Amino acid sequence: MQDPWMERLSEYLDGELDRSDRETLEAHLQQCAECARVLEDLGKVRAQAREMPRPPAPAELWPRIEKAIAEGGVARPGAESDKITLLGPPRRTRFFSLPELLAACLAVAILSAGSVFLVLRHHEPAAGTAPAGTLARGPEVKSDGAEPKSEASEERRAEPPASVAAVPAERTGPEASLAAQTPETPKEEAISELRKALARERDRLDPTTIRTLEANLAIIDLAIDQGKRALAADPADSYVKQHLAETMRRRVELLQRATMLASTSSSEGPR
Amino acid sequence: MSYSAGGTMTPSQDSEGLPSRYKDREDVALAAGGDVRAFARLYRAHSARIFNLARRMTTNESAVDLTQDIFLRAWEKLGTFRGESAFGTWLHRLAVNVILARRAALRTEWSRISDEEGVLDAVPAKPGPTDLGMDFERAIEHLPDGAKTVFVLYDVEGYQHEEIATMLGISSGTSKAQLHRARMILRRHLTR
Repeated sequence: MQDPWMERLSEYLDGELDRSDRETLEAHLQQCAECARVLEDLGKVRAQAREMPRPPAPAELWPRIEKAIAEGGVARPGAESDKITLLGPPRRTRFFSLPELLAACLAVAILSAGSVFLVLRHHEPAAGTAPAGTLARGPEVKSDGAEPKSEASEERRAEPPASVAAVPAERTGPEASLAAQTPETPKEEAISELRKALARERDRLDPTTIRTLEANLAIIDLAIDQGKRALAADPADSYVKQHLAETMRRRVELLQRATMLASTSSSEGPR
Repeated sequence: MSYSAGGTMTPSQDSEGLPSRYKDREDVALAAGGDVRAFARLYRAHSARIFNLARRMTTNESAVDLTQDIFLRAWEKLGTFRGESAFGTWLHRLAVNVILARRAALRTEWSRISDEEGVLDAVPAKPGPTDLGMDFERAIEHLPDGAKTVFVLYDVEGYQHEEIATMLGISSGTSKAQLHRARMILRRHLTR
């Protein structure tokens, strides 16, 4: 059983314990070498965090901001800006267009699909699959995109409207066509076919592996759906684009992993 | 970066010390009137801190666009800044809000994926790469989302648990627990 004081060491380090707890913990530290050692380490972590360097922002950033201001992509200071989007033309960055990204991802996915088709036909259940991992959860962030409450009045005034990404924007160009894609499009069908292939061979794979794969694919599907909706709300948002591309990349990567697992298991021969 | 006794950092100290606060106010007044050069000075004084906040709370790739969004939003909102706090404090809180709102718009459960990808990596036939050489920054990147957010806001940026709890909509106790979790994970990295 873990030492209950171990969980209080950060609070102690930060001066967050009340006097009674602090004195009790200090007495404990005299007796417990492990807690004393961990406390020392936590102090090092905190010190290192405070000493981290702060490199400057990229040099090209200010010219982009200046250009956005000059081109009228943003409101003048003090103007009511609820209708203003920060996402005008100057935001164009180094990212590929979504169709390009999707095409690239799908090319890999289709190759993976072919590999899976070939490999899974000869596949036997994999051994040594690990149990499902512990699910970690992040902090609660308001799902409506609204600002978290803040204490200082000027910060409350500084809050942006509901969300940058929530500002409806008209879709144009290739992003619009991509954002309009549905699971029925041929590209999505390719992914769907790959899933079907895995489904057909699922009895030959280790159940834990299959469950993990399917759970991850479901999460990734959800993330892609979220990304598409965010992009529909703000087609020029390169941050959203990047996330969507990253999500697609994860999906392809997961499928590739499945292929590799199957390939390795297959090369080990029937069991 | 400097911290007060309570751990709260005074952002205006970030640039040029106490006089910069007054200089900031002058520039804010000018910029609020549409003076882009004054806004450029504010940018130069504060962009590093904002960029690194964005980088640590999201990713290197996202940080550039986020920083741009934050400063453009600040430009729009300058008229609402009344000087009741340092401009740096106002800007930093605005930045945190923009970053959190953006993340909320793309709310996903990446930490679940990450953990479960680890399951796949654990399969002997497909071992995951070991990266014993990753530095402290990269170790922070790999923290679970909740722990990373609190760690960056508390240990790196100097916010208090009560402020973090308010910003994130969590309890102060949860903030403390996430901070401890982050430190314990990073401790393992440091003691490798």
